[in-house]
Amino acid sequence: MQFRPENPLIVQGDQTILVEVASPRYADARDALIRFAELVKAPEHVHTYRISPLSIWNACASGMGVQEMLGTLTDYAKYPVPLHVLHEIRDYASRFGRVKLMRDERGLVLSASDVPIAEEIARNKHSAPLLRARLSATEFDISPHSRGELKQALIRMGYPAEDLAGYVEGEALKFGVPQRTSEGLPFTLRGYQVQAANAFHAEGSARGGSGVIVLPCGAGKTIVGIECMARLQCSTLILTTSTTAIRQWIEELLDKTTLRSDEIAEYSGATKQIRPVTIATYQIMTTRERKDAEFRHMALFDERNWGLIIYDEVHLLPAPVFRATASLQARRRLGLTATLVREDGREDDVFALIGPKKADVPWKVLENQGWIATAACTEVRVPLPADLRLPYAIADTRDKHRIAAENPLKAAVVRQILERHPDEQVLIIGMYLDQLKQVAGGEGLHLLTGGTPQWERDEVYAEFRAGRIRVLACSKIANFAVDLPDAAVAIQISGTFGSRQEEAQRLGRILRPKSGNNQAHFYTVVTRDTVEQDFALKRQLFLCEQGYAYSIVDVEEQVGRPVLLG
Amino acid sequence: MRNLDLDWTEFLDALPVYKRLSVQAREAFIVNGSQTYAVAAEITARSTLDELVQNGMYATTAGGRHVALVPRYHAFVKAMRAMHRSRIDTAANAEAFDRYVADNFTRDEWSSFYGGGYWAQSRQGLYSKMTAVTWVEKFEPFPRDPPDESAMLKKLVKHLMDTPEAVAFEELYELCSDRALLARSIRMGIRYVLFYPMLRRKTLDPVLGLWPKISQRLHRQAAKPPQPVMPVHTFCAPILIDEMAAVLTACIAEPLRILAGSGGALYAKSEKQVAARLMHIPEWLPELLRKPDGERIRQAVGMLQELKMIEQEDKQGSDYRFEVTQIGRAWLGMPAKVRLKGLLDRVRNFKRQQRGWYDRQWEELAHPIYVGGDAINTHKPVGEAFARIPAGQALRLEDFVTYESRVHNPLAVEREPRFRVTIGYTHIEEPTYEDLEQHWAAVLKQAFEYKLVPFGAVEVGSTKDGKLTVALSEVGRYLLGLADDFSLQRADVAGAIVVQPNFDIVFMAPSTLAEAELSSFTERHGKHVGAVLKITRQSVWAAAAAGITADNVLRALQTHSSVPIPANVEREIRGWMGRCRRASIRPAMLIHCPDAETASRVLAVERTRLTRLSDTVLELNDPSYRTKLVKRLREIGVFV
Repeated sequence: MQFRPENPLIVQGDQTILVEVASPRYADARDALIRFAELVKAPEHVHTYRISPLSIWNACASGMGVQEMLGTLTDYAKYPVPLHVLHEIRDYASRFGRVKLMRDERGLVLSASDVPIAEEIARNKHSAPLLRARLSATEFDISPHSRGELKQALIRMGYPAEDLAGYVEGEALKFGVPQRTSEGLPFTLRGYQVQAANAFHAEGSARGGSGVIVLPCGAGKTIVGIECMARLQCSTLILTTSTTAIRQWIEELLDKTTLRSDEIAEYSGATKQIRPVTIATYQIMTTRERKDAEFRHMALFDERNWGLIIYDEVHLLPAPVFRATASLQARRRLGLTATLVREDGREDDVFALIGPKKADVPWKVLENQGWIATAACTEVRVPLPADLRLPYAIADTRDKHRIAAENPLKAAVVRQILERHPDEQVLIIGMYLDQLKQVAGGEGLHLLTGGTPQWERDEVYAEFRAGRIRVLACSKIANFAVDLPDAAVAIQISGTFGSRQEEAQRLGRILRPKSGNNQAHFYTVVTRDTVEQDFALKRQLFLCEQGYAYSIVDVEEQVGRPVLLG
Repeated sequence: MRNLDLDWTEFLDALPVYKRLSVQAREAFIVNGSQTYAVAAEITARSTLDELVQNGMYATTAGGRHVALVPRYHAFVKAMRAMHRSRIDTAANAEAFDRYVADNFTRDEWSSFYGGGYWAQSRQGLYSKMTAVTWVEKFEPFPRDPPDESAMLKKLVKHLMDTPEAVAFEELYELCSDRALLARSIRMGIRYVLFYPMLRRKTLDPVLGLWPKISQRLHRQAAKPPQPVMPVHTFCAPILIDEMAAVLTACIAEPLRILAGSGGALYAKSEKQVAARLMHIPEWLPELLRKPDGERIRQAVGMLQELKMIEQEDKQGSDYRFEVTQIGRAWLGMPAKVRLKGLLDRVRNFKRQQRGWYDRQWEELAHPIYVGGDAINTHKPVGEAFARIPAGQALRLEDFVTYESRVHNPLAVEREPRFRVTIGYTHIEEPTYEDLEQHWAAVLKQAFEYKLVPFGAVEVGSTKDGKLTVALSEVGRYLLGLADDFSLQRADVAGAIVVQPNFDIVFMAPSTLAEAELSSFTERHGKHVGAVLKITRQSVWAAAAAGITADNVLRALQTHSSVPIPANVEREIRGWMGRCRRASIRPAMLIHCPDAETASRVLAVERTRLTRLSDTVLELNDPSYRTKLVKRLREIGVFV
């Protein structure tokens, strides 16, 4: 095969794939590729995907054949695909389905495709203790309690188990998703939400019922979760990241379904009720009195005969919940996330314990369809005042960061930005409370911090959603799972800029579709020529690699050329 | 048995009997000819031994229980074995020649041909002389040789020169019916090292031939111009410029440490720093062109020293380091084309001053060759040879050099029969035309390897069957005076490079030329295609230290990128460049006082030469004043 410049893919020997966005065949190639490769970075012109055993197994679990994967690469590649990459894909794919978990009259049975694999499983120090008895040369009797742990052990051996053992039905719960919300507004699922729910449900078969749905922030993951609940009609335990998120789940359930409030319960630090639909935080599940004490709230998993467990923001699932989830393999499990990338690298545990990826819609597709807003990221650089230069110069690294972050000149920049967006709802996000208080106090803004009581937070969020509060200052409590649909502008005045998740989540707050030009703005105010600018560079790289437009302006330019901030 | 000791008349007499044998019997005769066999055990009706017995070559011994070789075939079998051992017909090289000479001539015999020179040199000289066409072409027997034998020998030589291959002995009967005369003439020819008795491998027929290379040359076809070919892989890049830039960039970031007494070899750590910046050379290139990193770096360092772009600094004692000179910084700050053009122009306009054969200059495409006492300036003819490659065409390198060495060989001019050639540090006495062809081909190959490829003057290619090809690049056409200017950008890769907002430089197609230009302000992260280079703050600062400006960087990026440079990338590059400052370090002599009062007393002693740095620390500005100061301080009660 010769060089085919019209094609968009360059398949590299290290199993990364470059995709040229300007290629006429880009969209087709991307849609085919995303099924068996993970997007690593998506800067403006050339995107990078990576093939890994997990990505291939995810594809296999979704029913994609190896020939289809190989065909995609060879059809869309500019250059001949390295033979060893094709070989690796064949090898990874061949491992999927060689071990199956099934249920028959003998109970839960692990079946290997051939004797050598069965022998390997029988002798592996991690899997061997989890096997109860050998039923035949290739079959083992498994305790239902070991189902999750065994799947973890098998995936580490390179043999992902295809779990066809089915699920317990759970306690039935009848409810519907009407065509209108509680407020009488029309409501229908978007196409991609229906497809995601279909992929998860798999018409109720054992091939569905557990897995992860990947949708960008603002794409309506909660709605997909509700649709999956409605398809299964069973009691559901929902785990999410914060009390605020619990309240938002409750509001959405009451608004979009026929569920009554006495059927929905909150299980958090504040209240601990259990009803057919119970929503809890990861934090409460992992709370214990002492470091060596039991996680007593884990008992919630067994309090009711749950038919479905939803893990919101599954990439944040803490280790103890993973362990508890290992013993819940007989229940249907749905993971919702904007990214499969975990900071702790435990993607294989997500695959083994929650399930394979069931749907993944690129955010660019949703942006083009108008389902999420277009975001423009702007870094505004502010000089350090003359009187702080010497203290900054002689400070240690930690203090340097604080001096730069709390630069008093930032307040004026915030004011200018607010003037630039007089009709839009704005979130001001900061790391240091003193600074937030100073900015909020100076502008007469509402401020939410970790110390704000939950009832007050709820009230302020409600006012903000209703448009009665235009500008809201908050600490990092607003990072996750807070639905503020009309926020169109975020101003980050300080932060560590170190965590990719934190940046993605903060940006996610403003990506809900907007009326008008559907444009969101994400400003970061940093002090020029300081460590803060160095940290901001990491952030810049991350956002560029996510595909967002990124511009840098100096505050002096901003005053003279307001168009830069417009 | 030596060929000269053989009775060739007997050999010719025995030959008809041998010719009647089957190939199996011939082989048995040659391999086991001297053995004695028990009659009952070994001879059967169809055995090869029976065939030998039937043909009278073996006979029953006196006791009647064994058969053995008939005595008159003893010498014959030895001669056949010697021919069987010889590999002249299959591998006519110096080793085979050497073995032949050692087997068949005494030291006195062969040294008589050479005149008794140093023996190893003579042996090499013998090979060169006696395997050349001139050896048989210009052969004249000594006058004291019998005239009839001499005449017959000349006749034999002519006959063998006219035949492309060795001939069977019986064919020679047509030239001379007198076998005894023929045999003596053959022996004489063997003595003059004109003929070589050999065996045809398949039929085991004994034959007589000239040295195979001579026959091949006499019967070779006229040289044909090499035909254009279509390479499957191509590579063209000014590797040397990239290597020099890599050394300079690494050296600016941190002066490179030199192993003491190594003549400029770098410490492993320094070498590693440079190696990380080197351009990747494609794997399909032969080792000849894919030199190890260490060698590439040494060549680049040598070149930079020659051009005074780096110099050795002795920091402390034996801590030798290379530091970049102003010339080096200025050169690195230039666009890649200007950097390259400066060097090409020096090669293009090179005029050699007449100096000794040992004097070498890097601008020469090839070093001069001395033929007899005359220097042949090879710079020009080498350039002319490569300039004859048709524009836009790739030729097989081997075909090209072979053709050039036969048709346009400046060494192969008619000269005195005995002259000496000095090529490099090698002297060749009385070279043959074959030597001259071989050496001119080597000169062309060396110019290709050491000059034209490193400058990116030729596009190297590889055919399906792995043969190297050569085509002139734009740079090459400029270097050889065929064009007035050149472009570094190749049309086939134009627009294939993308500068991304995340500072990656992605190559959608390989462009070693762009790599060469962009590598001075980027970090290398990959090879050929993909995110090959990345712009980082450190890489931009290293470039700034070398004198490269933000405008230079952005211009280079704009030249190669198919998309506009992202605004954030441009701004960061300018910002990073703007943050660069230059500081200087110098040793200082400090006086530490126990308290501020003492410091004031010390300062009062010599205000002009002392500077107060803090309450208790003073600096002595003039170190040579130290002794006097100590003395004066003692006078005021301050002891150092």
